[in-house]
Amino acid sequence: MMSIEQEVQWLDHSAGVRVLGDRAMIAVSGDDARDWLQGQITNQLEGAKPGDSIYGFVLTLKGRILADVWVLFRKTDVWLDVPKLQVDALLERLDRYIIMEDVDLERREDLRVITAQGPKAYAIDGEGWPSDRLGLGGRQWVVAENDLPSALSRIVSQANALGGGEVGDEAWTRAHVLRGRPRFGIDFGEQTYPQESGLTPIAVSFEKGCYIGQETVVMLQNRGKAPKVLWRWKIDGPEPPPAHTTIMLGESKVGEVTSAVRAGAHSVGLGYLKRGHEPANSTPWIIGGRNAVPTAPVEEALGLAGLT
Amino acid sequence: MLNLTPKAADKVKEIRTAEGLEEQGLRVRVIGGGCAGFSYDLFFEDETTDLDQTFMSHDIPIYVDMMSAQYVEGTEIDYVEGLQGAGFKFVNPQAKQTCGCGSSFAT
Repeated sequence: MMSIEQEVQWLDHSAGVRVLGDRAMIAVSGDDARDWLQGQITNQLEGAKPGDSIYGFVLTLKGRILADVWVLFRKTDVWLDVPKLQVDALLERLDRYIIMEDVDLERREDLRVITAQGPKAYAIDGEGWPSDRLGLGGRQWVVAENDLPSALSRIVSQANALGGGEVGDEAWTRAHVLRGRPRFGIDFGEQTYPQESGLTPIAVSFEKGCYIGQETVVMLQNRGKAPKVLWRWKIDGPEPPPAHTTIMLGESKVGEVTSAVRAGAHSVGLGYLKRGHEPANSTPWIIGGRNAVPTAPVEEALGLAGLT
Repeated sequence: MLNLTPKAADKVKEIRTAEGLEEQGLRVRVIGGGCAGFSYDLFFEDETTDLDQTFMSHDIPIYVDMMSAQYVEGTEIDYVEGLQGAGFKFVNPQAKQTCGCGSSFAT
C-alpha cells in the first residue's frame, strides 16, 4: 500500500492513474453533431480532429454551469465525458435544443473512463485523448466496462515503468486542492458562473460566437462583476477545515471553503470570496477560528506549481 | 402562419434577384444554439418535403419544417436598418427572451 504522499508525487512528477468513477459518457452522433455541439459548449470546437479533446462547460440559459465536459473527438462521432450525477439533467437540456438537426444522443453506461495525470502520462500508449486535469499533462482512455480490469492493469503497468502508479481518492483530492484545480460537484456546480470557478482560461472561448448562456458570460467578463470568485487559501494548522466553513474578514462573513487538505504544518484550501472583499489590507482572515491567507485567485494560479 | 413585412419582402426579392434565385422560396428554420437557446436560420431553397408547411407572403413562398413551425407560429419578419447595421428582425410572439443581437430566443 503506497502512502498518499507517494501517490501525490506520482501525479506531480511522473504518472498517477485512476478510474474516474464520478464521470459518465454520452455519445453524440449524426451529420449535424459537431455543428450543433458548437452551439452548446463554451469552448471552441471548430478545427478539432479525431483524437483531440476539448474541455468546456454546458451552461444553463442563465449562464450557470450545468456540467463540465471533456469533448472527445472520434472518426464517426463525439463522446462527452460528463459528471455522472448530471447525466439526466444534461440529456434533458441537450435534447431540448435538437430541433430538425441530425443529432442523436446516447447514454453509454457500458463505458468507463481511465486517466493518467502527470508530466510522464503522455508516454503511456493506447488509443486515447489528451486530458490535462491538474495542469501537468495527462491522457484519458474510454474502455468498455468488461475490459476495465485488463485496460487498467495495462495502463498501471506502464505508469509503474515510468515511476508512477495507481492513485486513490485521497491523493486525487489532495492533488486537485494543492494545484488549485476545482472539481465539479465539489468546488463549483449548478449555482456557479464560469468566471466564479476560475476556469475560464481553459474552458471558455471568447472568440467562438454564440452558445447557450453566452450573453451572461460575456457580460460578466466585460464588466468584471462575478458575484464571487474562487481563491486558493493557506490556513494555519494542519487540520483542514471542512467544506462550507465560513470565511471571515473581521466581523464579516465574506466567503465559504469548498475543499481543503493538509499540507505539512498548515492546510491549503479552495474557497469563494464574495465580490468587494478582495485582499487589500491587513485585516486578518479567519477560517474555522484560525488565521488564513488568500494566496491567489484560482484563475491566476492555473498552471502554477502547488502550494505546500 | 408566418409573414414578411413589405420592407422585408422587398429586401428578400432584391437579394433573390441579385443571386439569380428568382424561382426559389425562403426557408425559415429554427436550430438549437445561440445565446438564448434557439436560433433562426434563413436561406433560399427550391425543394420542399412532406414535413414542410408553405406560406405565401407578398408573393414569396416561405417554407417551414413542422418542428420549426411550432417555434415560429405567428412570427413577423421585418427588415431594419440602423447605424449599427442592417438585417432581418424576427418578431416572434412565442419568444419570452431574446439575446442582445436578436438572432436567438428562448420560449
